[in-house]
Amino acid sequence: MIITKFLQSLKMAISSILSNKIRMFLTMLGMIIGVASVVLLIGLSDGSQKEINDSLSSMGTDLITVQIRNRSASRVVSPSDIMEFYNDNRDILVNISPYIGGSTTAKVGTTNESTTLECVDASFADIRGLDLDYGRFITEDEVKNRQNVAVVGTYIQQEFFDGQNPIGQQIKLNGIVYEIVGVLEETGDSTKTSADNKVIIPYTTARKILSASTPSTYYIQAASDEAVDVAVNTLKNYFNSMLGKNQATVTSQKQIMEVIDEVMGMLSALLGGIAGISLVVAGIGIMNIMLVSVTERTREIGIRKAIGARRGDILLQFLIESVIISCMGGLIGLLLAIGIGNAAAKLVEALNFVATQASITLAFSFAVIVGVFFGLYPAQKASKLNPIEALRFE
Amino acid sequence: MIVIENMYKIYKIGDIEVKALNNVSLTIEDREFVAIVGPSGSGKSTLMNMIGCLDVPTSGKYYIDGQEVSKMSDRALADMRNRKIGFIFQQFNLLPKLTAEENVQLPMIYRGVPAGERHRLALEALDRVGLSDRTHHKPKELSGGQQQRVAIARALVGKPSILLADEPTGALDSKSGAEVMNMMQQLHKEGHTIILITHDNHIAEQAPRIVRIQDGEISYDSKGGGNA
Repeated sequence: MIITKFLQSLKMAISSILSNKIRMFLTMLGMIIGVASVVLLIGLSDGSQKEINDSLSSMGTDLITVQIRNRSASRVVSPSDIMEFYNDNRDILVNISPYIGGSTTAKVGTTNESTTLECVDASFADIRGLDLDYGRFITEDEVKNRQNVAVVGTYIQQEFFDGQNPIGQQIKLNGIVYEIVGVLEETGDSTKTSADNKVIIPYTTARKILSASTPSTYYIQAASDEAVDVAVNTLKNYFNSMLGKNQATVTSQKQIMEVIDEVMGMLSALLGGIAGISLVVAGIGIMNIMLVSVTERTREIGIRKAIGARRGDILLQFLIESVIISCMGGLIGLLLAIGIGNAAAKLVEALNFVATQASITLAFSFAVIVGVFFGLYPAQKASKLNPIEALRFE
Repeated sequence: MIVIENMYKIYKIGDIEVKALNNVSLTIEDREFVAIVGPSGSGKSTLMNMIGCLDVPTSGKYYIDGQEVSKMSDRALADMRNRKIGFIFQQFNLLPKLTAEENVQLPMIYRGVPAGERHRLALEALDRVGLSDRTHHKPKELSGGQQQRVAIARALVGKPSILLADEPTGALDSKSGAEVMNMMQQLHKEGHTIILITHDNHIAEQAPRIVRIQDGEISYDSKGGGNA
């Protein structure tokens, strides 16, 4: 019996909406725009968050970076000190590599090219997850023996060797001859300004080329994702005791990702919240139209009541009407957002769009809540009409 | 059966009390055909609203088939209207967007009768008023007389105890009006209880029992027994 009545109310609501198509569409439009903008904005922000996270986690979430700030101070940490510390903590640390960054001029034959120089240890490839197109990475022995060997990026390969295999060829870095032992896999687009314009050499040979040749940066790999926090704390304590407070910065990839997650989450909530305001405005529009509809249909309500409709029946009829408007608006808005979002992501490379289940559920349930909330007052007004007065209404 | 005992309905307009019904007592047996007559402002509309369970009295008692209506809740009143009363209005009061059949089905929707049963009963009722060929017509596609007959079918369909007709011929031409009155007579003969509210003495005379109301009081009852 309740289902019969509900189905009837549903039928009546649909026929009432259909009999006033333009008005109902305009009312719905507010909801369509509201839901579409919520899903679209959250989707775009989630999309860029996902993009950033993906590129960060491809570098390894177990990565820890140490940067020593005060190199000129009296207290210093030498690479051998750090290696000793590393060896004492093999349970939480699996790899370590000093890192000296700089730039240099590479020369093959008569061609000159300025390039990024990275001076590292053999384990750097494992820590950063580097893959090679040709040859191999520098070895521990080469590092220990300060051998002039180099691994180059694809830009160097293209520029100097026409894309041919350059293994065994020589390259001059600031005039010092290095032998190429490997070519890195392409990470950017092999252009001059990309990350593919680089040369990696043993850090022990850095001082042959660079003036500042004491490593101030260390890349360290924790034993596992879980060990990261312990490792970060251990490293902080070590550098605090060696150098004094806050002379070294220890950051983990995990921390960076957490910060980015937090910032992007806030951005997403902010955008969603702003778009959410339009949903409230849409709700007010629905309430307005429903109030007009109740007044217009006063006589109908009177007739229904005289025939035996209870308050609840009338309430349900009008409430269903406003919920249908919101739900349909919400659904159309959702499809619109997904369509626009995916199209935009395809057309504009910088944009990424992800319609997560959470944002869809959020927007749609908000639409339903708005429908109920703003439909309740008009429906209640209708249900409380005095049948005698309502029947007299012209 | 309807029993009204010492019914008062008092409206307060500012400081002035208006007694729309002043100590009205009235008994209407099953299968009776009663015309309640009176000029406008006499209180007959108020009395009709009371009988039709659309309003509750200020004081006094009202029973339909032994159930006391005067103290009922809003919801119970709605159910009484649905089950016990069949309204026939001067302006027909059909829902313009619904077909004849859907209009007739309406009272049974609120009673929760399943769709198949509703359809059958609605067709039966429309057949009784001679409109079985107009079931899919909207009110505006029907003549005034036909609309009133749809309204009668709607009043009949729920098998109510009382048919309450408020100026049923008021909006009709004389021919259609006569048809509707014939139908009333016919329904009376078939055993329906009919209460006809009118200001028109000629219409009222067609009813076996006439109750006159004036200034909120019953001034004449052809059956005797009222406060004549």
